[in-house]
Amino acid sequence: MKLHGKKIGGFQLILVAVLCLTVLFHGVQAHAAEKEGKYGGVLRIALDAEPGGLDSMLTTATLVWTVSWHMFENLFTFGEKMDVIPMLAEDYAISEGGLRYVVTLRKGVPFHNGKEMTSEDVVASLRRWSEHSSLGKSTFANIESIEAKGPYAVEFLLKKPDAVFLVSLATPGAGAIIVPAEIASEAGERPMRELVGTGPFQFVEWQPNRFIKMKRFDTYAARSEEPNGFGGRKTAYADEIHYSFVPDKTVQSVGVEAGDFDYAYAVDSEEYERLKETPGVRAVVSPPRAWLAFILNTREGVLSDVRIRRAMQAALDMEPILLISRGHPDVWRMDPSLHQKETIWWSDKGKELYNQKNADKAKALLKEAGYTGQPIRWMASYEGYYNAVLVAKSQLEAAGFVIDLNRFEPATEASRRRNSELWDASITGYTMRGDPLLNTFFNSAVPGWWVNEEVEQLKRDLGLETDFDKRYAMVERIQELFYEDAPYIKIGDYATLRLLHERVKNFKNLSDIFFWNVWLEN
Amino acid sequence: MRRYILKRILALLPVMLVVASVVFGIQHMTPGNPAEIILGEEATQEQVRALEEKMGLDRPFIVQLGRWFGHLLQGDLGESIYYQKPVLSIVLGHALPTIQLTLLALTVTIALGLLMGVFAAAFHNTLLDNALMFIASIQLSLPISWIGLVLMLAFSLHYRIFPVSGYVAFSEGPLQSILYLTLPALALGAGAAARLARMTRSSMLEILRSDYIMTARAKGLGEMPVLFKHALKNAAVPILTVIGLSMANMLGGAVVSEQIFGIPGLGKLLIFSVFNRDYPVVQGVVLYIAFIYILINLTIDILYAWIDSRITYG
Repeated sequence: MKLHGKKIGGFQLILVAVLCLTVLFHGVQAHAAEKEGKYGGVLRIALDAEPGGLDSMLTTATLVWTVSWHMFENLFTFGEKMDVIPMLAEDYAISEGGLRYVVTLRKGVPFHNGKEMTSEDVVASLRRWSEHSSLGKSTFANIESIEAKGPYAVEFLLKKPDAVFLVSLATPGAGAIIVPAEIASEAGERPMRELVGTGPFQFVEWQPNRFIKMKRFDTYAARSEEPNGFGGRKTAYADEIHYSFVPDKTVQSVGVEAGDFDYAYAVDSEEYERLKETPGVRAVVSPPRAWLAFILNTREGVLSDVRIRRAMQAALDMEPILLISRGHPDVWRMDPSLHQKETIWWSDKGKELYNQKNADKAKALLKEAGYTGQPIRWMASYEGYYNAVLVAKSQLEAAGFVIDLNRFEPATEASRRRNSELWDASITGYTMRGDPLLNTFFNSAVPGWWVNEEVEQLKRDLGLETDFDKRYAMVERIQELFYEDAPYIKIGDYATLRLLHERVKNFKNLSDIFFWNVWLEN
Repeated sequence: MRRYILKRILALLPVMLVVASVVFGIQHMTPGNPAEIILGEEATQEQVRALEEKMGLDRPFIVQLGRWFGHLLQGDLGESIYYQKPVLSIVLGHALPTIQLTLLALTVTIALGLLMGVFAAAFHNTLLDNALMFIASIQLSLPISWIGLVLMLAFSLHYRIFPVSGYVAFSEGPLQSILYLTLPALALGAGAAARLARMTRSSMLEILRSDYIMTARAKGLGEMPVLFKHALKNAAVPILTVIGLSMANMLGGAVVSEQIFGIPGLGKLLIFSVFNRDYPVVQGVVLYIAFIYILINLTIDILYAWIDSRITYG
């Protein structure tokens, strides 16, 4: 036998065969270990801020539920393709033309206090959800009744069909988490004093400004299906999870590099090139999680005139804005769709009105609107947001706008945004929800106050329609109207840069972060 | 003396009262309130109003202030909106790390500042003097956050001597505790040490020109006893003032140092509470800091009299 012109002997052949087999065997072993994982150790996580609480039923804040969903579970959750899959539910049946839902529960699911979860707990938790969660309130506006049917089934009667009913039950933010009945009824509108759920980790301690500690829930009742997105089989490999609060991005990355942390939530994207070359750590770009948008006040002030909003839309050049505010080009992209490319709702309707970079068109529109330099009061809070507006300001001023930019501390900005008299434009990031109907920017009651009769009708139809193609066409139409009316201006999609220590294994780089199924290699 | 101390302690009360009212006023004038933050961006105006009503935030300012003072008189600082625990226990729980950090930083300040100052004065107008004062100027000019990050890069990442961030209580492990606090204390103490070095240098220079120093040298005393026993003690009053001021200033600097190094002290608590509009906690922390500030001033005044017998208080 010849290899590269050299003759190989029988002994060498045997050696190669043995080597191949060894590699193969190790491969199989490694695969088995991958499947089984390693138990033990403490996962130390650097969070960029301290959550405002851990009762994720009361708030939509991502920071809260990405911590608390290790402890609490919903009846349903989302699979890898953002499809609704059962979590605490075993199954469900829809009847009477979409007006009756019967959800059967899994049996033998214990809470962290040892009690078994039954329909009584589900009903009490959902009642609290209906009264004190923004999402629960809107969902229950369409619920005629909710009733326990024996210990392991719950019946919902709806007033009219609701295409997003299960999506709402699965949503983690302001979510329908299931807790013991007595805890749900005692808490009411206040955050729960006892954090008892059914999740793979259970609450141990929260030392304010220091850490949140959870430990493995030994009698966790895992599902039998393979892990899928945010559901399926969940295994708590780590003995404990410690969350520290590290606001400084440099400290987060230094902490992972020095081995003090296993995972940092969001490090500075400008560091990406350096971190890619740094041994011992793994920098990963998350899937695009949100999009950057300018919110325009359509209710009153200069921007209530659609022509001026369209002028603004025409003048903007998105690339420099994204580069300055989000950093490394790998963590953002330009795209006109209101729903990320990774979702089934992506569409490029209205793309001709996105990223126009057309100052002349803007000037003409401003002239037509009779704009004579009334200052546009623009608010921004976080540094990245502020920088984005700074770039936009120079582009808009070149087209004839007068921009009065002010930076506020986040809570002040959020508070001012509720008062339509105080501002004309602002900036925020929108995260993708389980269904277009749940999008914040489709809600005419939130600041920006975009009201369009056709959109309102389409939203009503979306709620009733269950056929995907028909719903998709409606979402596309809303996107078209979005670009015509310009109540918001989409800048681009963005991701975050995550940093892991190399000992962290089986981490799933999904839109949101969890540490079940993750283990530590020595 | 006793009467003086009593008088000063009694004077504490009106000062605290004014501080409390001003902070209460500023907080309530600032836009944004806990109800809005708890409910998040998507809550409607009605939902916010309802929660405000439940939390008593819709009442007139005077009513809220009156109610707060009423509770204060009973020794009740209220309950934290976020942590749902009594404010007093939260503030005291966060005071220990700050006290530890401040004491360690003060040690750095005194050791570094005094040595730099004394030697600069002793070698007045030499290369050493110029070099030390140049270093002091740099220390003074650099912000705590920058010094902190550079120290972290050097000693936590490159040399791996100190942990990056976090905190271990002294009772949980004395050595660990000191390891965690060393870099933040260095960052916090650097500026104060420079101030102290400059003050020590100038008061030492004045003293070193006095007759009794010449006498001490003439009778054959070594330079070290002259510097540290005779000169330094007599230069102590202005130095003590700087140390007192530094200690009080450190409570402010600790806000930055704690934020960078993840120390769960009063500074970090204050920032979190301000951003989340946890009014009762902000009140509690500010009152506590005001109290400590006044207490430090009082202690320094008493120490003056102890060090310099010419100073008496009527």
